[in-house]
Parts: sequence; C-alpha cells; structure tokens
Amino acid sequence: MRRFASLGVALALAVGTLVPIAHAQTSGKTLVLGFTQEPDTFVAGEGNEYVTQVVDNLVYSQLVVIDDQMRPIADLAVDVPTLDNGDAVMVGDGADQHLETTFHLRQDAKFSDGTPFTAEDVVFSWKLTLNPLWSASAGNDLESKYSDVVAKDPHTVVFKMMSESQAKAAGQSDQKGPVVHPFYLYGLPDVFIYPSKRMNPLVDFDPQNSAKLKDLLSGVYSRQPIGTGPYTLDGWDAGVQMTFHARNDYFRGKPAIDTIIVRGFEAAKETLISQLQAGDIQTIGTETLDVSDVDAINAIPGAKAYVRAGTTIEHIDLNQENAILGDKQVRKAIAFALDRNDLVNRTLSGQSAVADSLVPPISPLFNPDTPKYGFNPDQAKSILDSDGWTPGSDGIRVKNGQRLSLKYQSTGSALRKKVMPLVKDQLAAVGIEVNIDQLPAQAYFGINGPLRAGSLEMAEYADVGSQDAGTDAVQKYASRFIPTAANSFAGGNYTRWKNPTADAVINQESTSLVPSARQSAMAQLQLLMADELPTIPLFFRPNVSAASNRIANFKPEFASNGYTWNVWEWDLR
Amino acid sequence: MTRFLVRRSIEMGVTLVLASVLLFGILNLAPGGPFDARIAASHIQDTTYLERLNKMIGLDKPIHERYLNWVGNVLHGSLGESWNIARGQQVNVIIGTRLPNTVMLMTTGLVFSLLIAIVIGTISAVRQYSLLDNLFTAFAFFGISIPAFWFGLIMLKFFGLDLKIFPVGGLYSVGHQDDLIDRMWHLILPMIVLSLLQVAQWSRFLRSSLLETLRQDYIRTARAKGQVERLVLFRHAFRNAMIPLVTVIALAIPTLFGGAIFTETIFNWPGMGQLLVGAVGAQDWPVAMGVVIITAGLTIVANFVADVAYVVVDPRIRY
Repeated sequence: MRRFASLGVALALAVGTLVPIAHAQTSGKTLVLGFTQEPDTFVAGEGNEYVTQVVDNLVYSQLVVIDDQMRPIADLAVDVPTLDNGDAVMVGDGADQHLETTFHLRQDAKFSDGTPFTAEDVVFSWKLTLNPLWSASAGNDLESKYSDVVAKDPHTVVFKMMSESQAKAAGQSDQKGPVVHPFYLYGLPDVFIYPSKRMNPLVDFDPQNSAKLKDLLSGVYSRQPIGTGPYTLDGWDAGVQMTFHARNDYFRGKPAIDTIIVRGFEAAKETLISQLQAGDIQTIGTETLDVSDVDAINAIPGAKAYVRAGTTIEHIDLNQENAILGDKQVRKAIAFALDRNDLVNRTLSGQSAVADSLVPPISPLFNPDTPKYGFNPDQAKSILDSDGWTPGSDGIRVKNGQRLSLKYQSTGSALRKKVMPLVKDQLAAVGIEVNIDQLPAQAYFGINGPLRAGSLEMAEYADVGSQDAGTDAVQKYASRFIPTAANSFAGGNYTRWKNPTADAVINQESTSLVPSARQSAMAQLQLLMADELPTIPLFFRPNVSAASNRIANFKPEFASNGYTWNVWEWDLR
Repeated sequence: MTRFLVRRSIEMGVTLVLASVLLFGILNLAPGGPFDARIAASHIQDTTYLERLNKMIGLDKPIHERYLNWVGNVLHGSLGESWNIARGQQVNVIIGTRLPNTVMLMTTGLVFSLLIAIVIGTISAVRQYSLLDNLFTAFAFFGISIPAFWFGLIMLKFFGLDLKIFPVGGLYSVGHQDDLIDRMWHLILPMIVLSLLQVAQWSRFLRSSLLETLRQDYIRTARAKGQVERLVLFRHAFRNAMIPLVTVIALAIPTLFGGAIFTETIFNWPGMGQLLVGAVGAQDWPVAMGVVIITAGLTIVANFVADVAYVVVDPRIRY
C-alpha cells in the first residue's frame, strides 16, 4: 500500500480543495455579467478600471447622473438644479459674487445598512474628495472649486462655488469674476455618495485630511460597501465571482432582476464570447470588446453588439513652437493628406466615424458648420509646393535645406500600433516623413514626457469626453494652459498654441453658465481651431459592449460611466 | 550525504536570492508603471497626481530600497500589497485564494497524466512498432506540437458549445457553489487540455526508458530463469525504467503551485497562472513577484528533491 501513499496524498489534496466555502445564494431572476478584469475596490470610484465603475453603479448612487444620450438625470437629487429652475443662482456682489447650487435630496433613500441618506453624507463625500490621498480628485477638479458645501437641512445641500476673491486667496491669481463650471448641475460629477455615519469614524471624523484614508481605500469597507444603490454586494469569491442582490428598500423600488452575478475575472475574451453564446453570461463590457468582435457577437443568436461612437476622440496635436509645424500651411497640408476614413475602415473595421471637431456632434455645443478636411492629397501637395517645400531625391520635401521630417509620438496601444504606420504612409505619399516613436503611457504623459516638457512634434492621443461633452477637451487649448515650469507643467495645451481670440472665446465660454452664450463662444472656437489647426481630430474611439436580447432596457452608455448606469430599470424577457 | 545536503542548501539559498534580484529588477525596471492605464484614460491636469499615487505605493523610493523593503517584508512573512488588481489587499491573501484552485487542477492533471502516460508508455515499449505503438507515437507528436491555447479553445467549442457536454469555463456554475459534482464537471476539460502535453512527453520518456531497460542483462537473466513475462516486466523492468521519470515528475512539482497560464486563462480557471497574467497586464508587480518567486523557490526545491529522490530510488547513486 505504501507505494500508493503519495498518490493518495495527492488525490486527497485535490479533493480537499474541491470542498466549497460558504457562498451567497442566487434566487429569482438572475443575470450574469461577464468581465475580463476583477474590480479592485469599492472606495474611490474614480473608474480607474471600467469594471469598477460598472459594479459601483450597482451599489452606489450619485446626486445627478448622465443617461445614454449624455443628458443629466436626477439620482439622489429630487431634480437637476439649473439657472432656469432657480436652484442655481449667483449671489453676492463684486469680488464676492459666487454661484450657489441647491440640491433638494430624496427623502426616501436609505443606505443598505438601513441608515437614512442625508445632506451630511453629501458633505462628507465632498470632503473625502479633497483628501490628498483621494486619487480620484485629479481627474475632475470641480470639487476643489467649491468654497464650501453646506447641509442646509437633512434634505437640502448647497454647493458654493468660489468667488473671485476666494479664488485669488486660494492662489488662482488670474481668476476674473466668480468661478463657474458647466458641471455645476451635477454637484459632484463621477463621485458616489458614501455613508458618513459608517465611514466618518474610519477617518477620525476628518475626511479632508485624515491619513487613514489610505487604509480605507484598501480596508474591509473597500470590499463590503454600503451605498444607496439598487443592489447590495452579498458575496465576493475572490477571483471567481461577486453576487449582488436587489434591495427591497431601493428608493426607485425593488429592481426587477433579483440577483446579479459578476464573473469571468481575467478570462480570455474568446472564452467570454463563448460563454455569451452558451447563455452562461448575458453581457460583456467595453473593457473586453473592440470593433473586431462586432461580427462575432452579432452572429450569436439572441445577442447583440452595441457600438457607441462615444465622446473619446483620437487626435494629433501639432507643436506650434516647432520650426516646421509653426507654419500653418504645413499643418493644413497634413490635414488634407490624412485619409481618416481609411483609418476608420482599416483600424476600426468601419465601426466609427471621422471627427471634424473635438466637440462630438451629440453635444449641444457642437458647431455643424465646422470646416471639414476631406482626403485630398493633391491639395496637400499643392499647398506644400506653394509654400516652397519641393520634393527631394527620395520623395521627401525640402525647404531651405531643411527636410520635411517630423517626430510622431504616442503610446504603444494596439490601436495606435495600427494607426501610426497608416498615417506615416499617407503623409509619405505627399512628401512628409514621419518617424514613429511609441512610449509607455507614463513616460508619454508624465511630467518629463514630450507633451508636458514640450519636445513633441506630432503627438497622438485621445481625450476622454466628460458629461459636458467636448468643452473640457477644447478649453485646454487656451494659452494659459500651456505647460510651463511656472504652472508645474500642469496645463493641457501641449500644442503651445497661443491665440488671443481663442483665449477670449474660451474665457467667455468658461465663465458663463448661460447655454446660448456658451454655444456662441464654442461655435466660434471650433471655427478658429479648424482654421488654425493646433490639433487634427482623427476619429471617435467607439465603445463596444454586448448583451443578450433577454435584457430589457439595456442602454449602453455614451461616455464611460458604465453600462449599468440604469440597472434599476433592467428586466429579463 | 551530509556534506551534499549542506552544500546544496547553501546553493539553493544563493540561487533564490539571485533569482529574486533578477525577477524584482526585471519587473520594476520594465517600461511603464501601474498607473499607465489610468493616466492614458484620463485627461489629467494635475501633475502631482502621479507623484501622489506613486508615493502611496512606495514608488518614489529608489529601486534598491524598494527591493530591500520587499525582502524585509518577505522575511516577516508578507509578500506585500497589491497595487492594482486587488488594490491594497495582501498578496499572501490573494495568492491564498488562487492557490487551492491551481493545486486542484494541477494535481488531478498530474495524476491523470501519469496514469495515462504509464499505460501508453508501457504498451508502446512492450509492443514496439505495433499499430498501437505507431498510433501512440502519432498522438505523442500531436500532443507535443499542439499549442495549449488553441487546443483549449477547440475543446471549449466542441465539447462546450457544440455538444454541450461540458461547461464553457469557470470554476462552478452559477448557484452551484456548494456542488462538488459541478466543480468536478468544470474540472474535466481543463484537466484534459493540461494533460495532453504531459501525457505525450511522459509516455515517450517512459517508452524510451523501458525499451532501454528491457535490453539489460538482468532482464535477460530473469527471462532465462523462466520468470513469467508479466513479472519480468513489472517487477524488474518497470521499476527501473521509472527511475529517470522521477526527475521529470519532481520538476513538475512547481507547476502544481505555479499554475498553467494558457489553460487557466482559456478556461477562466481562477488559479495562479491566471493571476500572473492579470498581474502582469495590470503592472501589479507585488502580485506578479509573489507568484514568480513562489514558482522560482519551488523549482529550486524540486531540483533538490529530484537529486535526493535519486538516492532513495536508486541505491547505486551516492553523493
């Protein structure tokens, strides 16, 4: 028998690991979401991973969220506060004038531990975002523009934007007039509301400064969240699945789907698609799919691929301080030489659209009269000929002994590995040489990288559009946002474009909350940018998700707020 | 023997330290960082953002200091904290949740492979150049040549999607967490895929070894003494032919804990291999380091065990 001892031990070990541990049970209507990444934490829902955002939407709520058409809809707020309905008003005079936005809060919302949701929870959540350890705060700095957030009563909270004097006292010496921000109607955009009663003791009742936030980010709470959302997390079998159950006391009423399972962490994409086909899972998100999967998904009976053009626009910034690119004619020649339809067809299987402006057409601020640069290599050659660039012996143009050769940088993502060689070939066809240089994202976007340090020539990247589609992507082209040592290289105007008219228009847009005034300013800015070409928009980066046709009301998001943004109204057919 | 054990122990320690330096250096000097994706996906104006994130996980310190901190933590029984895939969680805990799944898959795969390989290898050797031997030879070349990820996908499609005999990946079905039969049902396909290569390699190994042994004088002597062929084969030939196989099996021990990257990923099996893929993809070096250092340590130990096992199973060997 002894000879079989080792075999027996091995078998015992194997069978021993088959013994299951206690798990949350499923019941009623059950839906399974397929992920290829595992969410990391339920605190600081800044969406560093798309999947974290998707599960955060199940357990948390926000004051105001955006729907699939980029429209704001009230969540924990009773309604969306605006200048029109009087919930947002300018108060005070002179340098003390400031914007106050009042949110009337739902009185029927409760956290999953039974404690009622109040204005104190909003104030607490705002203070959390001001903590230097709160990594989410840098992505959207609206919270730092508030001088105070006050709980007027348990169901009313007032957000006070900084006045000019307060902004100057805070070091913003160039502030003119009261600070305003188009996101004012969201209060805390992209920030979930956390339970102050539960979390305050964990940060020593000082959410704004406590160093204990780091422990909170990774502590027990980060994996046992308490929110006001439609579901509660009842089981997390690490590496395998998460189980969420519908809340009977959810403020919109109990969701129709009783149990939501999230699984597939670190699975291969092909496995998830097979599981969708087998009916084991019912959704696959944009963190997994790309346009190359659309045909395979649509070939599955009972499933559909959803392709949304999104608000993320790929574009090439052109450094205006570069000796060659400082010439507007060269920039125009590049724009005409690019066959952007070909880029979309060959890198995105034709599943997206060419962008002519950094403001997407879905935005009310989009100017449909923005000039379009169609593919016209003859026009590009003609412009370069007129500008004195003559073809050299190898076909690359030369002017006054200078070769028309440019550095073309970006990150080494899969998409850019396809796009950049095509752009190189298209430009070579008109006599422009580009040398591709792909860098790690941290090196590319970092403080010493080409964008911030100013060594870029042609630089491709994408801006992620926000709730106010387009304005944030365009506003950064003001000259005051040029990264310099004086502003700690914090600006986003990598092109070093300085245009007084653009500065004035951007200032007009960013200091007004009146829609018509903003539209007028943005329309002018888009015309100006199309003429000056500090940057050349390429195409929209589409979001691809897939779902079983059994899910009713599946409306994948336009921005990146997670396809579960409306999970409370999902049902199974 | 004592001198051998002492010498090998010192060698093992030095090798492990060198391996840890090399692995830590490779991972931490790789281009990019754990926050690349977040930076690339965000329009971040605040340059202190990255500095703040890096400081939170100690990346503001020079690499030698980070290595010494890591070694200090390891000596205190901690492999550090995850940066990305389970932010802030102890790597020990993360590995602890994955290790049982890998041990289950790899152990059953190893035992299954061994049993099949012994049968195939023995038949091939005893019936050399027969139809069966030729078939097994063809199977072995197929098994050695075929990529695991491709074979896994084909198995998933054929048995999971087309015939619907086995599940399409996963550890257990929804709502069947406590169902032992369901878990074993999920185990079968990845175990078969995992075993294909091992069966192919080990059966060829055993065939060669057995053929070599069957030509030895003591086998001829046993036959001359009139011993029945079954006893000649199993009492004399097989036991000696298995000696070289001990090395192969001992060296397979690290994979019991290190996992099979392709098989686990294709079958969505939440084990160590899948964890390593996720950690590398997310540039979560503490987790990746935890997995690879465990694998490296076990490889070193397995080599040592193989050497010692030689002495145990073959009295002719002395150190």
